[in-house]
Amino acid sequence: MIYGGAPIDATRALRIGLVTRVVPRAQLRDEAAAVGARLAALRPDVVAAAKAAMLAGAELPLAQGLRVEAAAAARLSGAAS
Amino acid sequence: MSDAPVLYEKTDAGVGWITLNRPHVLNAMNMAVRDDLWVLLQAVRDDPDVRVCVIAGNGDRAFSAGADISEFGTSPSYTDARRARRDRDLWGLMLSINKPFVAAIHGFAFGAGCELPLLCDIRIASEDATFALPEVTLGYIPSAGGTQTLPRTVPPASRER
Repeated sequence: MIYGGAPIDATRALRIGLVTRVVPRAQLRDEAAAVGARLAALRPDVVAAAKAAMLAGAELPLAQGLRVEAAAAARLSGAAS
Repeated sequence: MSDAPVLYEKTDAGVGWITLNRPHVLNAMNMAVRDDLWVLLQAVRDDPDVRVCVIAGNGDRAFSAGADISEFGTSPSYTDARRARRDRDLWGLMLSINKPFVAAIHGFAFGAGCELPLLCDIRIASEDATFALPEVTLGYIPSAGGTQTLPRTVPPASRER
């Protein structure tokens, strides 16, 4: 995609993991709203910790990423007790 | 409906909707869009009632056809343009927000219109969506994160085209 520049369609985008889901055009807004509402119903501090760990981990070697996760998990369990 | 270049609304479910709203130019992202995104992303970040952000495009034909090339070359100088980008790192701001982003993609998702979804956590496409990063064939490179986010998202054998 970087060198060739040729467009790819939704089916191929799904196959290569560029998108996570393909729906009929008329359902796109409802589908996004449903996914959004499902995520919004989760505990925001837990969602934030998971996203922060993923973003931080993307920059790190695996062993360090695992320590980031462990620290985040410990903070969350501390907050829960 | 408002003619603002980007629309924003909050739902009772805690979802903030950012909608690109320049359908007459396939939601091309000009400086006005970037200005609005800069403000709205901070609103998403700072509003505890907003737990998730959905990004979508208005109109029938495109999520976004990418940067508005009609503005290319209008900056006083190349270095001014580069400085404006560095001082206001829109894509870095997105990645600093620990709330899930959902891209709802229809029609053209080209250039920055493909890269913006790549900065989201979940990408939902409609059947008519098409994706491309045409920058290199046009003599420049993706500059909304694409050279970094695409290889982190799509496996090497899938990137050939």
